[in-house]
Amino acid sequence: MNIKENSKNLFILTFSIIILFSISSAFAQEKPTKNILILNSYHKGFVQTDNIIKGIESVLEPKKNSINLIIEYMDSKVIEYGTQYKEKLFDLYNYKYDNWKFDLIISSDDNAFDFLLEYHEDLFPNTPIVFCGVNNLDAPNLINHNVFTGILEVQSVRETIDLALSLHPETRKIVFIVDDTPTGLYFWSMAQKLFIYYEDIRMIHFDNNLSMEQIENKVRRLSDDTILYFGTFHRDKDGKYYSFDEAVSRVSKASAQPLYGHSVQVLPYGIVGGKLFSGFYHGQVTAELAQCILKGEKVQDIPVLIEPQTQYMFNYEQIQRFGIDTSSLPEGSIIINKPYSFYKENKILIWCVIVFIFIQMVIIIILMMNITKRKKAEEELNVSLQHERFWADIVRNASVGVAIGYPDGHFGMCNIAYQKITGYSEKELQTIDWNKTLTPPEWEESETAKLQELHRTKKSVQYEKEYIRKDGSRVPVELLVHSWFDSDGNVECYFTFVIDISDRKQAEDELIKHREHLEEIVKERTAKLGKSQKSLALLLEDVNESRVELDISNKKLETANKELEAFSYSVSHDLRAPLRAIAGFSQIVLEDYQDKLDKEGEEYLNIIHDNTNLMGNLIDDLLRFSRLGRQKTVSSQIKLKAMIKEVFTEQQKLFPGRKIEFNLQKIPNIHGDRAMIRQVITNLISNALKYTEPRKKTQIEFGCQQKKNEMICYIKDNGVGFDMKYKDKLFKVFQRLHSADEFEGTGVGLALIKLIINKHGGTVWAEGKVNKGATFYFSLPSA
Amino acid sequence: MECKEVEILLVEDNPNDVKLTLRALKKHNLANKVHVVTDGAEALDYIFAKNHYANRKIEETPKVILLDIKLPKLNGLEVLEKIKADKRTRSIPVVILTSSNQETDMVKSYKLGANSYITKPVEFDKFVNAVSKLGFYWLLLNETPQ
Repeated sequence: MNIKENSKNLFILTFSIIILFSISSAFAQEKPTKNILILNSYHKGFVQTDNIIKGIESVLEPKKNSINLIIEYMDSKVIEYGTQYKEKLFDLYNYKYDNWKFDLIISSDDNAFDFLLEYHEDLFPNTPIVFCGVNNLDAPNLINHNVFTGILEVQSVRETIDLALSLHPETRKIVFIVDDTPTGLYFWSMAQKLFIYYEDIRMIHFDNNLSMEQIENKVRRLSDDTILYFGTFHRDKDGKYYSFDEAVSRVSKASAQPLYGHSVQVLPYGIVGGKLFSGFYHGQVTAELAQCILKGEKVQDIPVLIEPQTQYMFNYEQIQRFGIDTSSLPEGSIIINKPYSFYKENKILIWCVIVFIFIQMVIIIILMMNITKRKKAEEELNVSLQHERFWADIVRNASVGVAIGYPDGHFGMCNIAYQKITGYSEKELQTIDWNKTLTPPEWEESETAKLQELHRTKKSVQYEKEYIRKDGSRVPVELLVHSWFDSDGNVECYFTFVIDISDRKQAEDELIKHREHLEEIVKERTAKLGKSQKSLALLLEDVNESRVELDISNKKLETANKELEAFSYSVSHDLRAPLRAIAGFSQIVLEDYQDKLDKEGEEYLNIIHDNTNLMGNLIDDLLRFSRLGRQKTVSSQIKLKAMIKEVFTEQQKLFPGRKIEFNLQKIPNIHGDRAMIRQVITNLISNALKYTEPRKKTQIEFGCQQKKNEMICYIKDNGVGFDMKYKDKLFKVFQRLHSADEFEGTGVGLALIKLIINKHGGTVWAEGKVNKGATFYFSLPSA
Repeated sequence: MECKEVEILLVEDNPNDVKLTLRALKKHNLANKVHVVTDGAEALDYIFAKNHYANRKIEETPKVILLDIKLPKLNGLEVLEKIKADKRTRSIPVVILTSSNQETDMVKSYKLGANSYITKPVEFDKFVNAVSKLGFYWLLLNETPQ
């Protein structure tokens, strides 16, 4: 048999791996790293969660002991912890930790415990689990003790009451402050069970039928023989939310009587103390259990701790306030807020130092400002000395020609650029008359006019002209001329800036030519564009029309979908009710009136009964089919082989007493919608089992082949098969190749398979021969 | 066990289903105290002791309510919401017993606080089974806080 051989091979392989491992580990020198996962029910930042983790780390010391600590947060205070979220988490962890092997898992609080109860076999098979923070007292009965152990979160309410009574022996009344949140209700039901131990003490309950202000008023008026107990209080009559610290500190401040509690979370905010539950300590105890397991102790040898893991803890400020003698506290008590404060004891010294530093800083700032001022003055002096040289340099080397000319025609200073423009050296220029030698006769008139304007307006003038260069050629220039006037208003000298504009002139000429050409092109193009615009407008109109049509079709489709949903709802509800009546009452007649019926009558009633059941199945299948058509696929990784095994085991139970050989080949993981793929596998296996029923020995094989872009799976049986003539009809809804007498069925199973596989982008087909078995194939595209 | 005035409240408008449910309960000796109402408004009157049922005591809550969804006047989900919104009636276990096997109905019911959701099967034997199982569970095993 195949399976037997496989398992023999597997045994040999495993055995050799174990030997190899033991040899290699004998040579290993370093301490192997341990992988530990902490799965938290809530989020990072939730006080209890954080404290438990700190407690665990303080004992395990991951860095020192080469422990790789992975911390997961399920965030179930942020998101509702329900079936859907559980499945998503399963998918996530399944994907994330597929290749991980944990040595141990620690779960914190109830939801993480609950999640691991359900999924630990699939996600972390055989990994030991230590749970903590579990409120469910039934937990020890729910677990598989080979894998699970841990501690319950139990509050020491009775010990705390006893303690309070021993510290305040005159007490006759205890006021409990407890709201009706789930935690509050749970606490109150627990506390009430304890009241039989305190028959001569009056127990009073302030609940959230009171507002916080009312509670404060009542608490203020309490008599001296009263103490207070803070259970939990998050929400008052007005629906206002109070955090632990706010609620406790308001009650504590209002009350002249001592306040007790059982959680370390409220200790700093005004309770005297108690036997307190501390997340940190809880984490430490949890880690100690984990250490035992890591050292090799068996999980089932470590009992679940159901005793409260709590400590006596007190707040020093409150102890002082109520005059409690610290020597009367239980041995080993922890006292917080003890008055050692560096600030309080050295207050004056600290303030002296601060004031001294401040004065020093002020002095430093003043000195710095002084220095800056002096530096600035020095710099200004330097600058004015350098200015003159600086400007002279700029003028000499400027790219613009600069020249000074006198009204009598001779030149003063001329810079380098001016010499380049005119072609004369400075010395030569000083020997010629700027008015006669440089200016061509045709420009004289316009220049004279400009200079007269300058004399008249006393404002600089700008104009273009030409110079005659030394070599006789002409150069076009632009001039900006200023003049200095003497006290009588006569021109002393002209100060002229000159730019060579021959490049610009040339460019201007070319530009004119280009512009003419461009105008022609523009005319041509405009004509063409006009035509294109018209056709574009037509096209736009078409598009708009199509869009409107599309909108209408979309709306129609939406309405149709809604109608279909309403229709299937109504079918689901209304069509089944009369069927149930027919089935039910025909059964009742069969049961109650059997003696009045003859054989024929009984047979007819049985027929009615069977047919109503068949119709019921038909309706269910039909609804499932129509729902699937509208459903979206949600893709995740699927361990297909495990799923097939599971479905086969399930389906096999429906055919007891049959000889079945199920040969499961190598099958890789796939991507797809988990629920839908499961439906496909279920239908295929159930079909194979159904159509092989006449065989003495059933043979079924399930296998896969990886192709280039897709994976092909098949299931092959040795059943009654089918005629290939009808292969196209196989996958159509309500098409059956066998009568209902031969094989039961509604004819929806294969159609469902086709629908689902098509939705995943694959195809289905089948091969078979009458009485020679059938093979069904489906393909799925590779991810 | 102490015997209260009414142990089961059945809210069902289809007379055939009423008969079938009663028969199913009877088969397991659970039909001794069943009160039947046929629409959502009457169900609320009964539970909150109003109008026609004004002389009932509201404290004498039924041990379990079997509630159909499709009902005249007020539907089952509306009834469920009112029961679970009131402090006095919140703790009564409510079992949704309906023909509808639509997932949306089931999700809505659980969101509103239903304790169980059971689809009435067509087949009578399965129906008897389902009804008696839930009856046993909520009536005999599940003690609610008083």
